[in-house]
Amino acid sequence: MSAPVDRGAFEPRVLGLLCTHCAYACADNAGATRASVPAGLRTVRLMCTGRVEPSLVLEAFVAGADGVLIMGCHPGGCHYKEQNYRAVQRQRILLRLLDQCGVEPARCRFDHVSAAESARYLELVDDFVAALRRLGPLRLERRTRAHRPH
Amino acid sequence: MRTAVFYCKCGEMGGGRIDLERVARTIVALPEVASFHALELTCSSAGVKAMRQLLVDERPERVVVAASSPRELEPKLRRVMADAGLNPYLLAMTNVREQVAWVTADREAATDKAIAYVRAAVRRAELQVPLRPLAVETDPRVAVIGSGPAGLSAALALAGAGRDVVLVEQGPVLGGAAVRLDKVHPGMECGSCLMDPLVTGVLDSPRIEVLLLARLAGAKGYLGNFELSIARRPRFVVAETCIGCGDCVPVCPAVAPDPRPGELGTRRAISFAFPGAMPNVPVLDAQACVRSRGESCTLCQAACPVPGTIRYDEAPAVLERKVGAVVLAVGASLYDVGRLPALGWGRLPGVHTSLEVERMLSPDGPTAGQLGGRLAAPPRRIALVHCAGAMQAGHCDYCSVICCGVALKLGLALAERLPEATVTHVHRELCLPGPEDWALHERARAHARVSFRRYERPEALAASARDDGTAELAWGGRATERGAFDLVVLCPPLAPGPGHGELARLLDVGRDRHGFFAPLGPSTGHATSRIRGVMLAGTCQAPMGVATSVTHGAAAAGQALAMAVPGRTIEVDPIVASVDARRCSGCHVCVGVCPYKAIAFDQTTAQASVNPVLCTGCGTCVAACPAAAIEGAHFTHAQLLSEIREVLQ
Repeated sequence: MSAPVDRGAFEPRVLGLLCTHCAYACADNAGATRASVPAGLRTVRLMCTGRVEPSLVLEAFVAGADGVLIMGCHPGGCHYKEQNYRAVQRQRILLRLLDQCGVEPARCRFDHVSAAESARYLELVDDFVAALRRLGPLRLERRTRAHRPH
Repeated sequence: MRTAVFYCKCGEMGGGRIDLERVARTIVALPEVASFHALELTCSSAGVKAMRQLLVDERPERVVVAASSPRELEPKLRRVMADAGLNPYLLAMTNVREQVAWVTADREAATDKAIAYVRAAVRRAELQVPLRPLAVETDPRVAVIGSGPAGLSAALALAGAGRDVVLVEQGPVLGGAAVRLDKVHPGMECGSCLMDPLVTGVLDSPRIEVLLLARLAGAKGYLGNFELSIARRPRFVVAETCIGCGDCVPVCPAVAPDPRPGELGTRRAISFAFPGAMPNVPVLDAQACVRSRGESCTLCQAACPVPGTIRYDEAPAVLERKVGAVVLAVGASLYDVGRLPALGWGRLPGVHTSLEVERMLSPDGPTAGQLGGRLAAPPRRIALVHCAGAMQAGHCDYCSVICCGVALKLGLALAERLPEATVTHVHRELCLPGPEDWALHERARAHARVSFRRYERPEALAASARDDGTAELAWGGRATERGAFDLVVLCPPLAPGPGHGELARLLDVGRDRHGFFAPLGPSTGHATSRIRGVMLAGTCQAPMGVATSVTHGAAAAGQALAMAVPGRTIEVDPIVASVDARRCSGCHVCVGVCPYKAIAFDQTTAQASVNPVLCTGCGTCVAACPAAAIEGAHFTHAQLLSEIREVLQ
């Protein structure tokens, strides 16, 4: 399958926020092909990328993510009419906010995949992880905060 | 919290690499976890049975299943939960197969990741609360808007299934555009012969309330519970007492050009829509009547043999109807060739539209079947221009499927009617779907006086006046060609009708980029809109012929029957948004982002509220609310945050 893991190398921790209809289904299909996905990718399923509020992304960085990858349906393919467009609009503002918080905007990506594009999904994940490797681990002072919700 | 964790070994099969021992050890050590069960195959009937029994025996407060994708398995496992007497929404699923075992090469890394996912589900489950589906009563009645082939077919199918139907038609008679066609291709039945059984079936049905001269003016509600306001214009003739003798028509002094597209003749202020139109009751056009100019004419009333049948004082009415579902079947229009000034319609006497020629050829048309209209003499050289406005950016950027068949039909009809005439099809791509269209094309090709000339550049099409009164048509194939014609027939595509925008707004039904009502899916759900309870039928959804429209109407009726069933409540998925009134600041942001009109705004309390029946649970309003006053059930902020933090550990 894939090369043995080099335990010395930096393995970025990536949060994947995936809409259930296209992106999560696509990740499932990629899994069915037994492709190799970076172990640092951790996926969370949402009904729609329209649900992604900026605080979820900010908290992910606080909780240890080196990058956040949000994936939804293609433009025109949203299962809730046009909510992925709203997510795209929100993403633009979020990137500016990240910059102000001292997080490189390149650590948060938004992309579109259909359920059938597992090869493209794997490419997008690999490409993002490669970019995060180049950026190195996220250093955030606030990460010292307790993470457990209560 | 007593949580039962079920771990399916399916990930280990098919080449997975997870150290189950280590997962079990770590998860069992979590304080919330009361039991850990490794099942062979959770999705199998044996697995389901075992899980159900364990749930009954252990009565856990929360349940976590780590298995394959929740997209497939979660609905089934929620049923198992319910079977075991537990609330289905106390289940948290995580996918350790496709998302972990099958995609992670390193065993240690895969095991770490599986532990993180299962722990995240355990912590998420802790925050989950019991949810109950909302049961909504449904009204079994159905409104059908439009009475063309699709609408009539839908109304008949619904009435046949025992449903009460309100049929709303904006014109004075039933049958739509098809009833006015001379011949309907490819079967070549006469339009009214084809439509009459449908029209009389509807008029005879005790279950169908027919509202003519009526249009949808307001709509509130949702699947199962629509409240429609229907505005009805006065007919000024009482249909119940009118005997259809027509004595009122010839005495009418107000004669004016017929304003309807395709009709080239004149019409009196009181008239039948066309001979044989049903219901066979005239209608008085108040604007055309001399009484609108203050004259006190009562000639039609005086001529009417049934006193009280013609009533000048009939007022417009707004009727309220409650229905469970709506079928939109309002049809389409022919594209306005006036927007293609180079083609000469309205400027050159020899240029007509396909509909105008269709009506001239019809025995009950304005010229009683004779080629008159703006033509001085029977034409000898005829050109049929295909795709007048079709497949052209800025006009109709699509092929409307049926017009080549219409052009071929008209070409053959003209060639047969006029033994001296030659017919030239000036065409682009020929669209001949189905065996009958091809046969029609073969007949045209074989005809000695019918020829075909291809053009490629629609922008090069032009018609100009010649000194002898004929039209010179120029078209561009490889080289520019020209011809002189006595009659140029423009065959435009079907285009969305002028009322589509207003209807889309009233019912919140989306439209595609051309303006047709958008179906639920491009390949599946063609008879359904994206609004639950609103069905689409016929050419308002996409260009199609009469036969397909009839089928489409029946399909829409079937969808309506399945959605709103008498005596059955609709179970609404409880994964919906809700507004915390204490935190809502009344900013309106959520109202604007909801694509389903699920959020209402109360002006008196200045607060928003979500209608759970209309809400689809996408969560966009939750994310958009600046006051964090909206929460998405089962995807709450706390649940997602907990899951995000745990998977990242």
